[in-house]
Amino acid sequence: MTDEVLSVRELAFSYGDNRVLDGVSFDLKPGSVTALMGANACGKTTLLNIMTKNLKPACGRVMLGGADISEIRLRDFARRAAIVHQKNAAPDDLTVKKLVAYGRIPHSSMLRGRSERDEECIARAMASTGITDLADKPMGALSGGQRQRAFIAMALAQDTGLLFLDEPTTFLDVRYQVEILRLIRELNGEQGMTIVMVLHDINQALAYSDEVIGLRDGKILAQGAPREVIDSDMIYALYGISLEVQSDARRMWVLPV
Amino acid sequence: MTARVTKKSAARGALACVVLAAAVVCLALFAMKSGSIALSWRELMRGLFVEYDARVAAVYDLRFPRVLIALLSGAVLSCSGLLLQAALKNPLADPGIIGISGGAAFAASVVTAFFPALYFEAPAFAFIGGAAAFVVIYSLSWKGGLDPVRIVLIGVAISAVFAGLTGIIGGMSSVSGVSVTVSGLSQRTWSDVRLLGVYSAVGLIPAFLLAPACNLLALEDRAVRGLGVNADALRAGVSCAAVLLASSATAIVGVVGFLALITPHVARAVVGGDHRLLTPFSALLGAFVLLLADTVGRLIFAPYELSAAVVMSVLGGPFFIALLRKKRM
Repeated sequence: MTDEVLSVRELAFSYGDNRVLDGVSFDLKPGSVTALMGANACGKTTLLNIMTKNLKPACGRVMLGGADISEIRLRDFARRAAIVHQKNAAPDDLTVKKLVAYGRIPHSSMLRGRSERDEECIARAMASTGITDLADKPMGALSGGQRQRAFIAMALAQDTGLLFLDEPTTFLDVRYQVEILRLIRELNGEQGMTIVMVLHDINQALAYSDEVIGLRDGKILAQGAPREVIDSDMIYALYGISLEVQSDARRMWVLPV
Repeated sequence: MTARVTKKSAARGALACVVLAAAVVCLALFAMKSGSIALSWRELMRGLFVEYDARVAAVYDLRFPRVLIALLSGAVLSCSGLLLQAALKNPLADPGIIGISGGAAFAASVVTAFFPALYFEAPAFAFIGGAAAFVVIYSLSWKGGLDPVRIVLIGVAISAVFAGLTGIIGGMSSVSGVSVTVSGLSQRTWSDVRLLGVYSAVGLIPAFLLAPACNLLALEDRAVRGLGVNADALRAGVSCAAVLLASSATAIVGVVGFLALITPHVARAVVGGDHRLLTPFSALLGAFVLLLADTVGRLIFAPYELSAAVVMSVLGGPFFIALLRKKRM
């Protein structure tokens, strides 16, 4: 399940006259964590929406395992790629376990009950997100970080090789932000999932990803390992502001002040 | 340990359904024996099951259909409201308030006034009218999303237009007694029961089958798609069942406001948000409330009758306002 190859070819997309994506092409490295970065309205969320079948590109294609995703049925796609959105809603009285169990829908029919395999996936998803103890808690009683982990667990229960996350840390306190990002790294390390996330925070993108794709005005300006492609000039090109980029033996960071 | 708690709450929900079902049966029996021809329990049971009794036979022909229609249309309307609230993610959705019933009543009154031969197809035409109204309301309310209050406001306007049109039809057709919108539950016959029975089965079966899918609609649409379910198709299916239910009830008993709004809310408070429990409980509660409204309306100022719709409006208006205030809309 780790060798799902996703490649994007010559994508273009416009909202009316506003060209949001313009000739975007790249291949995801299987088993790596890729961060999509760039200023507001650079096209990163649109790109994610196209890669997850939520938007149709005007031109170009997204290929998953050799097939154009527009040819893959929604349900089959959901068995191969899972998505965690930025904004999530769930009824307050829904229990965490029931929410996580929704992740099995792509694999089951409404008529058949849950199989052993389903139970296994649900239990594993809750264990790797550290919410096993919360299984019977209603969603309304969770903290922001716990909620986000529950939605990640739902995506993990889909048992896919590919995981997309749209700004998974935006609405969280810094403590939960770091928790979620560490969790994402763990999932990548332990289960070899290929992960693509949109990140707003430059430092989080640099610290938690193997690859970054930097977009500006719908075009890719930077693609590669953060150390190789990100410097002060690139930050200026992507975000339109000069920021100091520093690094030591283990990590690199920008000073956003 | 906590796993037992969730099982317990499911069991409590199932128990609530059983208790309510028993209450519905008791109320139905009471409604059947009470009225201008008052029967004792003994007379009722004897007349029904042992030997012929002229008074019981009269009640059987007149009052029984009325009771059954109140039960059926109450269940049907209530489920319709439940489905609409799920499909539109809108706690204020009610087929009466947002204009579906208005469209259905208009189509039914056209058929009844001009094509009386098509009486048995009236619910089908009502469905066309209700569906047309729904499509109009939905497309007028859509502005990159559905704002709950906006859809209610559009619905009020659409309802008013249809009420006016129905009034015109009523004025044009010489026979005044046939106007669907005011006929309510009185003078219903066994053929009405059969008619409503068929159409409500057509609507209620999908309502029950769609219950697990309705749970999903509480998530964001994109999340539903992420699970491999086409959210738009699901919403269209659920809405279609809701319109069918509301229209068939409206074709037989006219516009009954607020019932479909109130009962799903009460049901959620009692059995929680899981549609697999909500659907049967809402159906039973709708049956109970509409029959109660009709029976109270029939008995309280006897020999004068208040229609169930009037009773529901008087009780439902304040409930609607309370809901608006609570949701801070």
